[in-house]
Amino acid sequence: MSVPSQHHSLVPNLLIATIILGSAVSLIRQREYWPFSPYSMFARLQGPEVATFDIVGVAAAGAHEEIPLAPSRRTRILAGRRNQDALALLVDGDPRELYRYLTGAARRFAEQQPTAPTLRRVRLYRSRWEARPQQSPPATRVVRELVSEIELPGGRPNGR
Amino acid sequence: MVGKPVNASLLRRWNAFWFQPSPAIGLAVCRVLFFAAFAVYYLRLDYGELADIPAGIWQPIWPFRMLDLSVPGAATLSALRWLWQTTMLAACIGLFTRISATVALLLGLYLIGLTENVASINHSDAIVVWGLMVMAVSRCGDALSVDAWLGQVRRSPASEQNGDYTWPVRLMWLVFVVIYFVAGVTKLITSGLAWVTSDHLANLLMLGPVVGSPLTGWGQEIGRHPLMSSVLAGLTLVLELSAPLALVSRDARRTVVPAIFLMQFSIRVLLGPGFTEFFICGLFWIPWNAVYLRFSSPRVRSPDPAAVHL
Repeated sequence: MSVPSQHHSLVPNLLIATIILGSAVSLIRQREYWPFSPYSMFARLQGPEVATFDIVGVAAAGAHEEIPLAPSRRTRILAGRRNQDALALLVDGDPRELYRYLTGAARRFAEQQPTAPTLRRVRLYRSRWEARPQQSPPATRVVRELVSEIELPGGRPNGR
Repeated sequence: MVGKPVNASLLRRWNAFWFQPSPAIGLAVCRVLFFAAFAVYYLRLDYGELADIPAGIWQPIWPFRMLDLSVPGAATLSALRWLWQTTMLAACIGLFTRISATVALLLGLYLIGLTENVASINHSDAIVVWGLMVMAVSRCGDALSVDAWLGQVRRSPASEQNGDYTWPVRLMWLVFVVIYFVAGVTKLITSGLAWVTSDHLANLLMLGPVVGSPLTGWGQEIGRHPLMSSVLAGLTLVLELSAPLALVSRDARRTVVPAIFLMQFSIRVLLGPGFTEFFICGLFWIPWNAVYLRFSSPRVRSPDPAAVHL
């Protein structure tokens, strides 16, 4: 087997060292240094409870029917777990930004489903779920509270 | 005085692992599949969405904080996204491979990095960045490429076996192994053995459909049985911690790597997260040189089968 010249092995050896050292620092400090990470997903112990947010729209015609406005995990960057983290940040932050976010959710819904009924209101709920092995299904919603409700002026989802 | 022979032996083994001569075809197949898969995979996302995100969920990661980078307008994001897709397609077919792969890396760093500033880090994406980096600095365009067809590569890849075609693939092995090993150690640092012995995984499985979208409801059924959940948690941890063995032992590689993919698939089925990027990067574990030899005509077969056994 031929031995690579210093010139040829420099780039790979530098990359190897970078990957190992960067990952080691991220692991030891338990901090994100993107693209290095301690990969902490699922590492923290999960208790029997979890909280989730959900956004629903209420159509002008049927005030009691709530239409889920969850962003599609397949087509959106802000979807799934990231969307839940974003909503948690917004609920604790500036109410105007939460308002913008909720109106944006209604606007996207109207763009994606032009034949759906016009939305009049948007509601944000926080739910608490419990794992109960004896029940079916074992994930049970124990609390659902209204966190925020906004009215869309004129029933138009892109109103302010 | 055993120091020098030991050092020489280590260096020999190091070079044998990273720079074992191999044909260009294996790395070229990885390039074609890697860029084709991610060019299609990232088509589903509209980066223009980022132009509209509230400031309250902008949590800048260190490169964006250091360079004070902000989110451009939707039109700019859309243009960058299409440029990225184009360079990935160009790299896929091997057109101006070095340039297209380098531009794909720079745009990938920016666009993938941009999404990591939003609310929380997506742990699936980093492996793509490493893959783009490996492609940009390697000789991945020496075969199966428009460049090779036009005679733009330095040497004839058909007759050449070179360590330059080996280390990029093995570097992706290293990235893969490091990710799983680090994830395993982090579980121990964060939660200790309670990660296995407590009801942690049982709770995760039972609550799976609430926070994710598993392919089946089997996870909830397994979650009802704490002992079964703990056995699965123990297997997960052992597998993650044993991932580095795949680098040093061919036998371990044949066991550990398929087991990791089975675990990843089980997570999708039982718990929800897809980690599609990891499945795509699994292509680096397939011994493409051997596959190529197996299905090619006898006249192009290498006289040295050891050289193609990645």
